[in-house]
Amino acid sequence: MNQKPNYEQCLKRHSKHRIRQVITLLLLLFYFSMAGQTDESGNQAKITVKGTVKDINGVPLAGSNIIEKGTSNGVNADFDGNFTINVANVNATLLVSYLGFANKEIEVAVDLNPTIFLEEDASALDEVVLVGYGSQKKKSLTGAISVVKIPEIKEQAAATGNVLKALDGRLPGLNTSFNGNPNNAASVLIRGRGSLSSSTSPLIIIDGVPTNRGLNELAVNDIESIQVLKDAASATIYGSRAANGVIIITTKSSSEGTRIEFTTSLTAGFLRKQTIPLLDTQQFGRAQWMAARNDGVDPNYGVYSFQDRQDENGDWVLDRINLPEYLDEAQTMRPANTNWEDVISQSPFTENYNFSISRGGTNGGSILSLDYLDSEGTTKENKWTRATLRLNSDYRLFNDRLKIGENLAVIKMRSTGGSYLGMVPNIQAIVPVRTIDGEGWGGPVRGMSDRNNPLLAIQNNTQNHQDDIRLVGSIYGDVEITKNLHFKSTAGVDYNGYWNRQMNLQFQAGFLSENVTKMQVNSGHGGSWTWNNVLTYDLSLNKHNLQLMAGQEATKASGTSLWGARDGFASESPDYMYLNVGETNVRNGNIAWDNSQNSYFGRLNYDFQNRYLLTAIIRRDGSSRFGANHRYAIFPSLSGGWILSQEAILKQVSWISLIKLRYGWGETGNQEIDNYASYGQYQAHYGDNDWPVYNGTAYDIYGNDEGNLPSGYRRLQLGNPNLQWETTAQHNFGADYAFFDSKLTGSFDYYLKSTTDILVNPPTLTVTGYGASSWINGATMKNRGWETVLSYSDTVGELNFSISANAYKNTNEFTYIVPEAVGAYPGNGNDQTILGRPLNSFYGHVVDGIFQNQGEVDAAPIQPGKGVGRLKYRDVNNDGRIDADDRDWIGVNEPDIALGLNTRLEWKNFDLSMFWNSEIGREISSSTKMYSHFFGFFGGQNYGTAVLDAWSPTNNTSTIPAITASDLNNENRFSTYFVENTSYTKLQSVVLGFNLPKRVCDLTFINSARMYLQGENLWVIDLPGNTFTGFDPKSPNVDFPLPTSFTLGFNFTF
Amino acid sequence: MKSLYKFLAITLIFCTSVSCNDEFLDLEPKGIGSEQLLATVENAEKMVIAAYAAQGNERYFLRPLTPWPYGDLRGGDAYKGGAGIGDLPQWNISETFVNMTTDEAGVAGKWEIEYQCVSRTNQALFFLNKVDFPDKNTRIAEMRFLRANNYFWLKVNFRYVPFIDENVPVEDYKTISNDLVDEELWGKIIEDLRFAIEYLPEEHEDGAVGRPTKFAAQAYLAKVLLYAAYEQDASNQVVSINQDRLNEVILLCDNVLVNSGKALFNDFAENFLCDTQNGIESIWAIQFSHNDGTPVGRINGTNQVVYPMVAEYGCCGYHTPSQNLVNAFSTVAGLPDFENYNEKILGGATSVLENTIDPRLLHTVAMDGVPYKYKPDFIFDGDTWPRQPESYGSFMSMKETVIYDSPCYQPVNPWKSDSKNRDIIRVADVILWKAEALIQLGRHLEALPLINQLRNRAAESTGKLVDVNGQPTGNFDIEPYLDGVNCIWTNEFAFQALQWERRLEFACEGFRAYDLMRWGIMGETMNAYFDKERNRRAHLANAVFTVGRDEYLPIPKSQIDLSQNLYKQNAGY
Repeated sequence: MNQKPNYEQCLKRHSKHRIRQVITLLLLLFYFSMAGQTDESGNQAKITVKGTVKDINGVPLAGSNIIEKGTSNGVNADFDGNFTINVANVNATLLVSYLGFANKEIEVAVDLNPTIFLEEDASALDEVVLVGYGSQKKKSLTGAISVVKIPEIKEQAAATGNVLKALDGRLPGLNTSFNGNPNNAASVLIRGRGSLSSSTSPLIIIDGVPTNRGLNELAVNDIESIQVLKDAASATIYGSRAANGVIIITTKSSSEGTRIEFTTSLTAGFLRKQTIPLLDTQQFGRAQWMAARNDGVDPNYGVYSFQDRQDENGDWVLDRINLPEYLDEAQTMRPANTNWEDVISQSPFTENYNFSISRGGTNGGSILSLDYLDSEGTTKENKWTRATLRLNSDYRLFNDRLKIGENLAVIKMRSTGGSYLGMVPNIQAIVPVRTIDGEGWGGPVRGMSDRNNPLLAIQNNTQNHQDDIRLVGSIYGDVEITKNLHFKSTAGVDYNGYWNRQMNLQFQAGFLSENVTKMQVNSGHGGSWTWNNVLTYDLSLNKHNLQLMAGQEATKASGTSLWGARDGFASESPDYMYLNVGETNVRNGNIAWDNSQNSYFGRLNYDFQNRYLLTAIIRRDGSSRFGANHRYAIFPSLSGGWILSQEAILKQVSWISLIKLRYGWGETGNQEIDNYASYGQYQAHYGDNDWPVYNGTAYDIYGNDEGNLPSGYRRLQLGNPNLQWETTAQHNFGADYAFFDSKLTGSFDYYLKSTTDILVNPPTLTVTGYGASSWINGATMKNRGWETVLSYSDTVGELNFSISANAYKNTNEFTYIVPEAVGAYPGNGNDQTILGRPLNSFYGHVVDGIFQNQGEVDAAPIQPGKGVGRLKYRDVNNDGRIDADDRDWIGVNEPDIALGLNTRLEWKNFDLSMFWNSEIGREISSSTKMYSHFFGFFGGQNYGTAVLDAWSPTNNTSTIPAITASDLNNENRFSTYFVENTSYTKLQSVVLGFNLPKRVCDLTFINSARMYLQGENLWVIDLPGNTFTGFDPKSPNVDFPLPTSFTLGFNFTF
Repeated sequence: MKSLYKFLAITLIFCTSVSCNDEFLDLEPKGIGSEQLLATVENAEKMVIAAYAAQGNERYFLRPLTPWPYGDLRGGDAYKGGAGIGDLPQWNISETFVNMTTDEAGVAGKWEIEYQCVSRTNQALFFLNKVDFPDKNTRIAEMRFLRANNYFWLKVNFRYVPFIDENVPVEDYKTISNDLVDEELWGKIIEDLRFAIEYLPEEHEDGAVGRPTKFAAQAYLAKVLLYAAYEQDASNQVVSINQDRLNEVILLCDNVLVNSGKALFNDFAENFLCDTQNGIESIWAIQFSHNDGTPVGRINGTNQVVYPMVAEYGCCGYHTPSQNLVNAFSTVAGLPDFENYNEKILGGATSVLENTIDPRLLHTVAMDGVPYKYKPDFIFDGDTWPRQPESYGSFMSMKETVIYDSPCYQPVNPWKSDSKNRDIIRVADVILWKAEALIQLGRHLEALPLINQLRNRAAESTGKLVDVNGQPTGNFDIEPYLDGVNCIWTNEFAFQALQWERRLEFACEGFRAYDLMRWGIMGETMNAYFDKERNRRAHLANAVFTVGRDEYLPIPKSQIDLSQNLYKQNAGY
């Protein structure tokens, strides 16, 4: 399928062109033979009508459908749009239809030789949709496939360089999660989580090549279309990799003529507020004093000392917080008041440039594009750059009977730095960034956490970066063997190589120091190739349209990586620090991996009178990942559709443009487990800096203390030759509709998904030791839900507007797991288990407020550490004692409903669009609350300002438990106190665009020009029920906050 | 129609021609070994090495094999230390007892790390049993010795634990409960050690000092029998002492002391120094190493947090000797101040010169103004070297550390550690086990010279405890017990002397809680300790020892859940 770069419009036009040809050829073939048959059947035809069907430009519409209304009598137009039909009498009415055009009725009485002009149907229903190894008209689809409107998201996507981030909230049933990391790939969940340990990411196909790498690596401006196959009836064509849905992406191809396009966007971001407001130096002192006096201990510890006294009531009053002149004994650091988040933060700036030249004609064409993205994170030195060179071309030979094309992109990326925000709470405000001399680094002193100065960590990391080079592309040949019989062979590759050097420099900061320079280099390469061969055959017999496809595909993926490390370098210069000149402790390592798949598949699409639709798919998949006993699996699907609006009775209702009902059933698989998951594995593991426990196999049995050691082997896992894929069976009930000349369109889908044989690696009893687990097919999960989209677009005077809303809800239920694995999920493993509940359920203690007085404390059940001001836990099992048996189900980390709302206004040369999204009822477990609302869970670090508002006898309305530097009440335990409802609505983006008027363009060499101003992540509104205390409900517990940003963008074509 | 046939025909031809042979899907795992690969003599020997490796694979992060986090913190010899009680709060819970819960993460970590060792030994035994070679029984004996070591630690920490040997297939592990009574579980450990005694050589031909010898097995068996001799009831209280076992303890100790060639170091300090590792006093030790081809060396992971905050080190101030322990080193007329030791506050350079002390104090405890780790010009500052002296006092434990310029020193940023070996059994232990058995058998007079042997050695061990001028850093006054001269050596007095001697000799080596548990006095001792100590250290304010519960750790709740209630929880939890 060749495509042109004007998005749907061009796609549509071109497809029509092609289909026209195909259908015409086909019909010419059958015209004469079939015509004779009609006569023989003895039809009492009385009047002959000869006419021509054309579009409004006069182009003949070959193959258009002409029916005598109210009968089954019908014919198709020939190559020149001509038709001849015998009708019963002069009062007959002809119904003329052609896919993609509005139907028209002609009264025979008016003209026996009519020339009928059909108008193009403006609705988007006639989009051609990629369905895997081929395409189909959206109108005749029987599965649940979402098509992304690229123009709607392109500008938003360019601001982050990642198309997935812009999809958030746009497609019902698609849950996107991501953070502010500039090279964050973002993860997608389609219709809920159907797997446990293995991947829940959809399969991504770029120009026919399956990939496991993130879409952030694809230049947004190179993307022509994105389709999401959500239900099994569509996705089955991808078999054992499709259980999580499929995202099909095509990149741009050439269009007729010459076109030069330049697009740029410049984005500046900032954080609206502190991610977590932390105590400053004075506040920390106050908090320490408050905590100590609450605990009844001396507050004078660490670097703080206090002047305080007891008032007449015996209550402690703080008069003065004394800071030492120097923090350290060596007198290199004076007390400071450092806002560490400010110290390490930056206002990120992102630039994206895309330049493309396209040239095309009847014999083929090519498009060359160059894209550069430079994207910064919100912490200093955090940056990602991406340069892409893409060449897509196609050649048509032998009167279009052979088409050869290729898509190829070379992508060079560099990522530097990361988030250091996680380090900020670990260091107190009193620590200065630098020592008094301005050269040394400030760092922790006694009584403080053993964590480093975050700025020092950033500075010492700036010279470390990773370079990636990725090659992704495909080459194909499509030959028309005979009419309508095509053979297409596609070979694709997705290959990546990387190199990074981690230089660990010497430093001294407070009591932390490192006096050995160390360096490690990692590099590797790997990827996959895919080769598929597909035969397609289109057949139209009268009112029967048949599309057959059969194919085969082989995929092989492999990779290897290599690392080396040495210590002791004479210079810390990046120009010096290469492995060869490291003097001590020579280490290295190397690993490799591979996997392969082999598949056969076939699809049948059938429609009768463009009214009754049927699709059947079957795929047989073999994968090297599965046990020797279960290499192959078969995945079938069957789906049907009924276009009600084509029925005579509804055809006459003028305001109904389309009503279609769909149902589909199918099975898909998931094989995203470790490449060698079915094998028993042993491995020599000489020794590494493993965490949280060393797991080496070498030992100094000779007592030499130094030198090479003898080593043994560790067990990694037990084998399972019966391991097989997960299977997801899915029913999908859908309806599509369009009313009032397709001004109002929408769809609704309901689905039931059941995933069985889920791949799990259940935890084993600790007595079995490490490496005694194995992968098994041992769980079942159900997802059910609905998705709906409703759009309305219209024109009022010079104002075009459209509004589109979507909503979805998914309910997940974990219905079975092998008994030995139950304990690995929330619940107590006995009478309270995850079974029958959503996978993302929280199980923990229930907090019933704060003990207000000693009477309440005394009356409460036994609760070690209870006291006035402390959290009061519910005695769930009523045994008079608070312990691990008093936990309950306290939340689900899934939204009750997710919504998106997109509006667009166009007036003259201006357009304004606005996108809102919303999640209602999601509950999250807030890990940041452990330090934002407590003062004693971690040693010697900083805490949130919220602790200053903690409960006290005089502040007894506070819900924050009394400040304490200990945790005698074990408030660290997981409870409702940490579960927060994030219900929110977010103004995700606003774009104001201006297109240079055509008459201005005509005066210049510019063909068209557009500029726009975009705001991103603009406003968050808490919805009722929201209890969220963190920074951003979209990305609640991450180190990379999402910035608010503004973009200025330009697009020129020449 | 012709085209349709063509389509079908081509499809058929195509499918048959490209029909991939299964070789395409038959990929051998890369860089992974199989069970078949390991079933050779050479590899079975290597699995033995891997089992040894596990014995040193600990980490301070809730997975200690080094016994101080549970042995000292639960025995009143030391506090957790670090940056306040929120710094590894699990160990705060373990040292204050009162808030211990069945799902406390540190307890699960202890269980995990010990069973990880057991698992490696069982894997080695599995492969050893598949092959035949001359040293086979020796290697099996080594593995059973290692297994006994870990089951001993499991036994004294958890009391009831599942016993799993190499004959249990992995799929059957879930059928094995923790229902063995003391007698049965001790029996399994004893059985492993008897096998080890039978097959281990007196010296290993390959010169591998890390392998236990016959004498090590005898010494270990003596230790196990001594513990097993004190028989407990269902609520962890000692109800009787098994005389037969004590008699065997004496025989085994005698054999080790007479025939092993092992003896006390002349200077107590040599037990705690890098360059005297694997010395004459060490009967069996875990071998650590560095500069060995691993990124940070195979260092003692638990001791990563015990170094002082001074610039020469820099982290993390854990394992702080208690005031009670320091006081216990005070002497009156050369003997421990049994009655009044805890009435004063001992500590600091002036204090230890003004008061008479057992010299072992300054080998064990770093304190203000006193040279650290035998380096006369490297003076410990009690205000700045500890992590948070206001909370945990200004002492630090020193036996496990090495001096910063020692060849064994190995920082692992941000932590510090070393490759100094960890003695599991040293000769002093064997001497005192024998003495203890003798006393419990009413033969306390025979125990007198044994205890005095250690006191005399301690008295001689002051050569390294000097300042820059060569002057002693403490007022050392230690005498042997002289019946009728400075004491009346009754059986009761002898047992008290033994208990004290064990504490002074092994202070901060992680044995204290287990001694108290064995003797059946853990509850009374700890509660008496808290009565006084809670006024000195705020973190102990609410500490309470619950008799009948806290002698042992709870069986980790996660394991009970995973076992689907096959495991039974310990008394009191």
